[in-house]
Amino acid sequence: MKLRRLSCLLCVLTLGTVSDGSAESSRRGTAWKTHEPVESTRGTVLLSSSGRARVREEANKARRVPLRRGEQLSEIVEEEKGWLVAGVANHGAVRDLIFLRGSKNGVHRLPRLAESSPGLRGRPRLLTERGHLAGVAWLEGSGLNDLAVKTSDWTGIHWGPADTVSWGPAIRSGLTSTVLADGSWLLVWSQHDGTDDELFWSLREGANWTSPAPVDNGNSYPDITPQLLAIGKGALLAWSRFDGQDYRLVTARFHRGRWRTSTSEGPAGSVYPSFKRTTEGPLLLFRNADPAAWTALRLDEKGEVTGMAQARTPLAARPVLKNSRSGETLFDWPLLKLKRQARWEQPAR
Amino acid sequence: MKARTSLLLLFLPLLVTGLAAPAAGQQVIAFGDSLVEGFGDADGVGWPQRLRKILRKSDKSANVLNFGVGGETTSVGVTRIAGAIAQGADILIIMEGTNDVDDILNLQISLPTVVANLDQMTRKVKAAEIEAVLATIIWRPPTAGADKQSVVTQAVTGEIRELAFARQTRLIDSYRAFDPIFVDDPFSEYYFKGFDPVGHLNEDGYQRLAEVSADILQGVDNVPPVIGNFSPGLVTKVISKNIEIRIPIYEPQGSSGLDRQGTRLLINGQEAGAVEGNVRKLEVVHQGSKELGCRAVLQLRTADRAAEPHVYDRVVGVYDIEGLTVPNGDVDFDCRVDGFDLISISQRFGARRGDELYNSFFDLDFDGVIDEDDIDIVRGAFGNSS
Repeated sequence: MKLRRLSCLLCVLTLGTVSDGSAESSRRGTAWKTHEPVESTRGTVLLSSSGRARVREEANKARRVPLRRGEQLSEIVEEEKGWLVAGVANHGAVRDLIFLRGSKNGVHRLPRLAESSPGLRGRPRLLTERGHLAGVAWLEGSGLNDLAVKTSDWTGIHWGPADTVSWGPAIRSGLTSTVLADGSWLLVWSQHDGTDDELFWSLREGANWTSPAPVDNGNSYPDITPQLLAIGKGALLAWSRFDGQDYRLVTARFHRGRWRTSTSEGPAGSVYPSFKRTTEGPLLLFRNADPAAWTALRLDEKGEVTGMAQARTPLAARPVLKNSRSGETLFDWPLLKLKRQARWEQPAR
Repeated sequence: MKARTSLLLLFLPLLVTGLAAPAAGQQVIAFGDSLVEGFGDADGVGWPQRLRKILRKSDKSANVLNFGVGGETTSVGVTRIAGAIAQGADILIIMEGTNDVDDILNLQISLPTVVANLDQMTRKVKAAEIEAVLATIIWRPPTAGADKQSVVTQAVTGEIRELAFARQTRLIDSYRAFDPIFVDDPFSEYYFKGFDPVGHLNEDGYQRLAEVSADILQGVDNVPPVIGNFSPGLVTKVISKNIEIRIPIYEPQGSSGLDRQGTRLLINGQEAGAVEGNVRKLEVVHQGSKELGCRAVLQLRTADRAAEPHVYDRVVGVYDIEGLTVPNGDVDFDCRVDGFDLISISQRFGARRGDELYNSFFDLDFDGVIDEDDIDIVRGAFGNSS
């Protein structure tokens, strides 16, 4: 994918930009990360705040997710007949994963992982195949400096034994996952190499994981917050790479077991990317640091940028993107009850 | 000649402590997140405006600009800081990282990346020939949505202290200013009472932060030394006999320096370890051995070199030793119940919870008083060992 002259595009684009509003300015202080909605790649939204959670399904129907003390949710995916959410349960010094399934029959808990937590488990990434839960990937260790990438298959009744994908303990973060068209699982994560965070990947074909390998050539600056989306027969990866001055959005295409990193980058201060799949193709959402904004890029199935919309706002919380009337999109912050309309613009050529 | 002598005397205290007199018309920028912006402050001004008021008592043209944006993380701040630098200033205070705590906890971003971001901000400020001043983040209250025990907050704080030492910047230790170990009930007195999953300050809290900041900018040393991220750390509960204990101690740039001679590590009350380093950073290092017993209580004593030294004296960690159990009645943790345990309890006999002499390790029946019942427990277990 090419983010064609994206820096320049953002400089000249004004029509598609909505400027800061006074209502948002007055809510800056309340724009905590805890108010950030989590959106599945297909648009079901998890709203979670202060130990309470709701899932907003199609047609804006909201369903309460019963949580126990110390539980927090951070992941949502759709199934053929409902949705699944995952998160963590904090019990003193031990943190374990939790899973809940929502369907027309209500919300039910799935079993915990087979082995007990060694102390810290987090960042669950749910994997679905053909509309059904297939497995989960997560980070696990005794502390923040000692985390491994693990996976487990869902048998339909319980979780299978855990597989360790990564080698040796390390500082790992930002785990992301997707299932490719051929059913193989792809994982990417940030891993500290002693100097900075670099991106590593591994692919499961059949029952075996490939040796973790770097996505791109190593550098001496952080590569952070990777996000994956299955696209065509491969996958698209977006992340932020520090260039010595600022973080910039970088993308790479995974095809036939190889990565091709785009030569162009996002503007200075482009961070926190996320993907969403719509009927009109994939969307890539990211935050601009200065001027403060959220930017949506419309992509084609090859990952090329076909449109861009931007909402200028100091709000740090990620918005939900919704289709609006023709030629526009809606940036929605449901927990803050704020909405902003922005027009899709053609990218500069 | 006489006038020169008088001037020398006037500036002598500054020369002795190595402090620089603030220039007139000092321009300060406060950069960071909602804690800089002032969320929770009923007066709506935050600590930067309060700092300006304090600075103007001695410098009528001093100014402090507020560059705080609520919800911001360091990954965003590292770009936005260019706009603050472009304003021009003598000093730029960087106080950011509170929102990164949630991302670290959620395993979205790593602690080294947050430190790298703060380091890059510091470099940018210095490259513009503006003095960079780092500020640590504040304690999370127990009512916060996450990190209720401030474990990650303390880890971020330890890294900021190390960064300030490595980059030779002055440090505003906001964490220390609201540390419940040193400040009575800070969450009731200084914290915002409304719905707040992060932990912000109220008017009194922001006033305190302004005063602490003013002390640093005006070269007044009012705080004892602080410690950094240490081994075995806060999260670890069980350690091996061979573990290396390493505790870094910092005294901020521009203050009186650390008293190396007065720095001691006590393990179960016994002096242990070697002290390395200089007046800005000391490290107490100890390779595990029999001093650890079957439970190790690590106590650090240190002080600065101010005319009236500011003393740090507290237990930094309690660890069980791998493969060993503490026999009931073994209050000095040497793995056996003997006469030394009886003597130790007798020395605190009659102490009640809240008394200076009271220590829960000696209150074997946990009834809040060290008394005959506790001595009976030792007598009953006399001679036992692990």
